[in-house]
Amino acid sequence: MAERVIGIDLGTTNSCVAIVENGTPSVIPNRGGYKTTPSMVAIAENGKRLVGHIAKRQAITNAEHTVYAAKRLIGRKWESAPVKQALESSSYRIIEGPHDDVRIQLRGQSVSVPEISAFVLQEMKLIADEYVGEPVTKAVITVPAYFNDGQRQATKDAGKIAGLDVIRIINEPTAAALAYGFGKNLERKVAVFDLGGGTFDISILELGSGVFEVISTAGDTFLGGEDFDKRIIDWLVFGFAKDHKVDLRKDKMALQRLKDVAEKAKCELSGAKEAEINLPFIYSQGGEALHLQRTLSREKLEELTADLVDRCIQICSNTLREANIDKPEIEEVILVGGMTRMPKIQSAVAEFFGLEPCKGVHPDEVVALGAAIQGAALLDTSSEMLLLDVTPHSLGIMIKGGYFHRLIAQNSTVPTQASHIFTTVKDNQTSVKILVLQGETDRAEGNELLGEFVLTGLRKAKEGEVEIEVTFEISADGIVSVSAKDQETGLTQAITVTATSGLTEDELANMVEQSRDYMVEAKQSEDLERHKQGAEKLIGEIEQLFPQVESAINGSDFGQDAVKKARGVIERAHRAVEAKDVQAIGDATEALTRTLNMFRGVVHKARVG
Amino acid sequence: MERGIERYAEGAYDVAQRELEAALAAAPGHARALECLTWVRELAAGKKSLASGAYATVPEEESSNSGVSPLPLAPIIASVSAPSDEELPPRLAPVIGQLDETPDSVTREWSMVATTHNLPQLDVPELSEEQIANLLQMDGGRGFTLSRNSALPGVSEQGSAAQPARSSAPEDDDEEGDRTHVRLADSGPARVVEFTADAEDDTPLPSPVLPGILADDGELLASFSGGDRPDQTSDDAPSMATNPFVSQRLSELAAPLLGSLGDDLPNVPEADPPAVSFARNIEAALRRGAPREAFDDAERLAELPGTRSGEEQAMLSQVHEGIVGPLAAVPRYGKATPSLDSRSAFLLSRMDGAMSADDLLDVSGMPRPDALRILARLVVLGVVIMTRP
Repeated sequence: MAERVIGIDLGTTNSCVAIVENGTPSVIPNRGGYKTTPSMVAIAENGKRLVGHIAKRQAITNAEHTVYAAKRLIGRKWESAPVKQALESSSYRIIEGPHDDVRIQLRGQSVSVPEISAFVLQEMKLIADEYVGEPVTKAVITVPAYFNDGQRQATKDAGKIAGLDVIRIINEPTAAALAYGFGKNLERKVAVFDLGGGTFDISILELGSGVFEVISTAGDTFLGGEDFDKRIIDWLVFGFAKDHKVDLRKDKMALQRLKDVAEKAKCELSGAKEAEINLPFIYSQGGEALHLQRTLSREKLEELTADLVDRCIQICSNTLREANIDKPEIEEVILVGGMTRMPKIQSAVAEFFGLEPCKGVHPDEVVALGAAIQGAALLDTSSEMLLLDVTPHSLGIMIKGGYFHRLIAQNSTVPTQASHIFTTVKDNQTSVKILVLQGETDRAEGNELLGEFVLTGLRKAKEGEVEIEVTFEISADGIVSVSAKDQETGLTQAITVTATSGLTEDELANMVEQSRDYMVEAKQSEDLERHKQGAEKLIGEIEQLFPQVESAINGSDFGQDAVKKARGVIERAHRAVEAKDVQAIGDATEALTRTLNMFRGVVHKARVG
Repeated sequence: MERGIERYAEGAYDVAQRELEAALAAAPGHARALECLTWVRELAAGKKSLASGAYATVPEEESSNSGVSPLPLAPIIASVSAPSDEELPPRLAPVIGQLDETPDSVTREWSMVATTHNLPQLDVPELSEEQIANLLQMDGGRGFTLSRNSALPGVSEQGSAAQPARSSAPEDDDEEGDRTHVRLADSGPARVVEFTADAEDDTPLPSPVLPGILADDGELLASFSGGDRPDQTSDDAPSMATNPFVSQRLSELAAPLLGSLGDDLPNVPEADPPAVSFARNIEAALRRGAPREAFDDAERLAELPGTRSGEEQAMLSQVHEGIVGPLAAVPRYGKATPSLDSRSAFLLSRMDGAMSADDLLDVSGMPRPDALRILARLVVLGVVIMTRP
């Protein structure tokens, strides 16, 4: 079979996996039949790892040990603003890692963020493995367009821990545009309006001749569908408090049910005008059961969330203004993310851009589909599709006075290269220090330091006489190489800036190994359970036949011996199950099958005489 | 092995033999199982018989008489504690309580069967003359003042000729024809008693002349009734202690009783704590492979104030798992119920028709034993049905 590659939309709240088969991209449903899987990971009381829907169903009752929106933290530095913001709002415990990175405390264990994301990716891989029928290792994973190199590298590391060979990281809006423009050969400027469960992104892309270029991107990492859910929960809670003088938020189980029902009602209201909310036995008070029953109208929901919709539109406005793009230039708006099903969102977008948003793509699936298309194109050498990604932030060096000098501008298409001539700043200066930075502020200190090196052996001369050429090069994989060359002597010094996810090589190798062990154990456990169930089923059937068999062979020594042996077989099967010995259970299952067949034969013979 | 002994006690020798063989297959060389199996095989082969004396060895020529199966045998314990009428001893003074104020009553039959298989096996001494005297003295020598028994099957005549091996009944017992007779057998390390009861008493009373075993509080732990009782007239019959089943069963059953025998015993011992009583019932039901029968007692035990011990918790979980079944099964909605508590409702709300019971317990948001108990209760109510994955 030809090598397969999957596309994974590793979302903040939900993830999705897709594959291209016979030239057609399609989303792979998970075991429960859902096309998206919650990006949630939890550790249960008994230490069991829960991922996806099962983790979501206990997210509030086991809030301290359930990680959601890990994407907000991946590849971030401990001191960064988003981490501080997450510290204030997260129910799980976020701690400082050993390399200025972020770790999460789960049931007494410190877990890195790439590991958490790896658990989700592992689940997506399993979904694909089951669908394809064999292990799939190659993947294209999407990330927000604003992710920096560290965040992209951390996402790659997560894929590696999950047992995936991440052949490309691509931007989410790019993937969405790719799926939107797949096979259409469009040339136009499009806006990708992505309102997911936890984040909002707006990106402007230029599509043309098979080239997809992100012109501008912006967003809010703390604005999404969950904020809409919270408004509904608050409405329900206050209503219940008014009726019964009980604050349901203090009861975790009640709150979990409220969260589930709020999300459900929100989804229903995308298609219906009213949603019935019915939570029987939500609370027990003085031996009396209290029920919650209310009707939420679409108008009420829109009233409750009007400011959130306004925030989305305001961000769009700012982005267009900063990118110097006029609204009429946008010829298409692609809606991405489940929240964009909300009629109010759609009407607000239509009103702002002055055009009806595209309804031709599935908002939950479009990003994964785009990633799968990109993956297939990367494996297909005959593909003419050219996908250009951009560098999300400007790259440059620090110059005299502590300023930041850009060599590669934000949103430059990668791969790219740029050079600039610099001079010495002091008389007789024999060395120069190159500090490689990434960011958008003019002051160097406001940007992220990617690496540094020193070029030595410069000729002694007056300041400004010695010229040094600094060259930046970004490969298609986002690897940044920086070199400094003495123009006179040709002496060159260079570094390759490899983005770090906050994990050392040893840590990463260790995590990969642990993950592999876990998967082996999980498979063994699954095998054991399957064998056990098979054996127990056979035992049950045999035991049901015992009375008939004993009756049929009564008086026959041979028959008695067979019955005795059958009991021995059952006993051996029980022992094998107790010992959790898959091989022994397998052997016992064979014997049980023979016994069952024999018993069935005896019973049949007795019936027909 | 326990199952083998149970089946043996029920008189199902063939099943007992199979169980014991299975036990030996699991633990080859297990001395106890081997001993029991030998015993069962000999009984089944007719080499031993209960017909002419408990566990007397049948002569070779009899045992070789193929085609003649052993007589229908009553459970062993019943047979050793149910001597023929001629064997009845003079009445003993009561050992369990003041029943002399009990009005005339209708005789009732108790049929509770004790199953104390898991009780620790203790080295129980036989009752000495002194202990028996103490027991009699403790009761003031007044004895039970219950009536002579009515004509229930198996009721023995009082004052029969058979001499007790060890007894010291007050002489006036024979004159008071309306008293219950309590016989304390001495032929083994157990306190085996027999009762007669007033025919018009409303109070639940022990079965007349049916042998039984007393608990500390005087409650009849085990009684044996019905069936054909073999005569036990042979003086040289082996004592019941030589029967491995009887010795094990009786020592187990009697251990907690005899442990309390002492000079300062109260006249009316206190009842078992509820937890012990519930646990005993639960254990018995579990032994029978009937967790649903144990459920009510399990609920009562779980509701008792205080913390459950590890053993109790394990027992409760066993009951609940027995009801729920394999945790790989998928719980689904069954019939609706008009009343639920919020925790049960929450557990129900987690079900999605695809999640296994095991996963459901993980997402329950409560300690696993609590969630398992709630799930078991919902299964018992029919609100949840368990289906194959």
